[in-house]
Amino acid sequence: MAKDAVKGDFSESFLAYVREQQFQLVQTEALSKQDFISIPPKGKVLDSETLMHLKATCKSNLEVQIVVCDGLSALAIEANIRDILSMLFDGFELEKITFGAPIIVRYGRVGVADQISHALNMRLALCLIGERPGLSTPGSMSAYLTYNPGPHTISSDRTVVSNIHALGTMPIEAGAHVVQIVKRILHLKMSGVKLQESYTG
Amino acid sequence: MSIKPLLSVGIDVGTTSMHLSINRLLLSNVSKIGEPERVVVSGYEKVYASPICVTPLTVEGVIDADAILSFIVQQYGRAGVKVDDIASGAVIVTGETAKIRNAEAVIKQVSSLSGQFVVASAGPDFESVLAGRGSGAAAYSKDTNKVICNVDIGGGTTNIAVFKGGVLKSTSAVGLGGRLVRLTEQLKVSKITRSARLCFEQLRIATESGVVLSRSDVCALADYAAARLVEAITVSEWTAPFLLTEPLSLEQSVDEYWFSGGIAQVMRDLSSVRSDTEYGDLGVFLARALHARLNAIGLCVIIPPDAIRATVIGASVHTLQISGSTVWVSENVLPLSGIPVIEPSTSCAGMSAAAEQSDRASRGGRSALPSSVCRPDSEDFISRVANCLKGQSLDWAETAVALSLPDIGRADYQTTKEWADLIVTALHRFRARPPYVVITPHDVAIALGQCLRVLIPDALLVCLDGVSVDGTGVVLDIGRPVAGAAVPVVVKSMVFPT
Repeated sequence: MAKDAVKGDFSESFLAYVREQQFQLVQTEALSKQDFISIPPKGKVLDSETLMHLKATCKSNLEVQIVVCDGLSALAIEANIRDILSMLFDGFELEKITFGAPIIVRYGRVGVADQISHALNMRLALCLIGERPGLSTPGSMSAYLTYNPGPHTISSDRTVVSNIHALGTMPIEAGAHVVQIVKRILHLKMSGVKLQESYTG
Repeated sequence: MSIKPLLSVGIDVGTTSMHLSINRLLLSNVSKIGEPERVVVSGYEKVYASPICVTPLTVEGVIDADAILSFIVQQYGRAGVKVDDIASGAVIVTGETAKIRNAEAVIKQVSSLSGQFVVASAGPDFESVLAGRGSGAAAYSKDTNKVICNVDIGGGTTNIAVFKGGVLKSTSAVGLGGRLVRLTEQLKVSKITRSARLCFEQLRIATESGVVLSRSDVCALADYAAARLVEAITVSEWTAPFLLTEPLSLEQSVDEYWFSGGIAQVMRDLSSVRSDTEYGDLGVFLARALHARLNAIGLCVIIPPDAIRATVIGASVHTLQISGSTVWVSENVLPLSGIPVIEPSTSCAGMSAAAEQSDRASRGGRSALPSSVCRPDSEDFISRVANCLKGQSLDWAETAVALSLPDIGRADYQTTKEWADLIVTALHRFRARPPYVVITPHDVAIALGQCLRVLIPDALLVCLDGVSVDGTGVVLDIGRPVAGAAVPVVVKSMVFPT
């Protein structure tokens, strides 16, 4: 089950949904799923041509960029993305937070969201990504939030909400929760470990 | 992440005595890394236990609220605790109806001590539960999966609670206790209760206040009361004029009887009793008679340490629930107190009765996945809400009410939005008074909160999950957040004597 999930690509029906929603679909420098798994750094970057294309066609200079990566489970994205995006769109509108339409990345890792958001000059990168399948479920998603993302970003700059699936944190609940974290990150201008410390300190 | 402990107080104002206990509630986050916090009360440390004092009464014979207030303030001082440091707790006023007809006023005054102080008042059944939790009987029952009956014998009342596997099975309260009569050293009756009169009638002993009883009459009274108490805890559906509530329902045989309260304390220390009238009442006689009867029928009897403090420990430590941390609470709404709960059950369109049942059976954990989607049936739901309001004599336009939602099945975006629509329809239909309090059985409170805010953006809203509010006629107190957005909630059954 876990192996299938890792190897699985976005399904036809998911790609149809992406087209219908008119989301951008791009691919990292990884040439195939096998390439993506064997050479991890390739999943963190888009080639310059793709990046130029996004710069030319996407909104920029907003507060949040949503990036959706298959990561290690395209299945997790397919199962949970519709519910969480609906909640994010409603929530950002309610909180008057500006955001760029989701960009779907094939063979993507968390770092690619930093690259994209940096190129589009967004204040915050919100990366929704399929988790490495675990014992409990092949379909668990995480949300990584990074303030002021870019080449300088390191892991401790990221705030994560993990275990998003119907048996963990439900996608709608995670969506509304992420909206409130985004609000706090934008207000305090910090994410990751520093944000965590702001709660206790 | 470490979470600041909460100071919590339990105050028990009984027929005979009053005392308080201050504890530090330890909170832990038990979620995994990356998951939203899940805060639970993981234990407690004793901070202070007051001496046990005589309950002050006014000249009219009711509880003296002012004297109780000054007692509390004085005890806080001794404990080195500031009023504002107390984050939660409960005050319990129980006992003879005549003395506590001003219970509600007393509780209001005590609660005015501090805004953060989450106050629960109790009916006799609730006190039974608190005593059973505070004595440790409930926890022991959970650990061993045994059926444990906790019997808390005070001055005026005996509170009984049965737990199986830690789950409350039945409660009852009986108007028998150590202060059936007050006695001088010479066994002169200085005060006689209604229950004692009933006993004397049955025993055919003629007596009045001021009469000196023979030692054998006092022993007969104590033995009669002890016999009734043994019946109350061993006979299912027992009936007697002494019952203050429904009788105990014993579906399974009890493995162990735990005794708490003042009489239990005396029962344990019978050999060190200085004088039979040490407490100026029937207490020592009753303890001795009960001890003999329990021995004679060979029940397994346990008297835990701190038996006399079971109720205050229960009130302080076991009244509080912590909500989920992904919840929605509008700014400056909390604390709230005395919010009645309505729990409209529902029939779901597109959900078979069997599926509904299996969902209910599989529920209980936060992660239980309902098997099917429950689409709200609008007219049905509205009429069920109307029935709840009517049944509890509530006018939502006058009183803020907490709406405890039924199992809404698998909560996807569409379903949750439909439920939000329906809730807003109900709010309009009943011209509901804000703040709007909604409790969901699933971990979707912040999502539902957001869906509601889309429809009613500026409404004062409290949307919670992670709290169990089972039971009709309960009311909620909701305190300010303790960690992240998680809030303390006290569910209480509000039964004042009328």
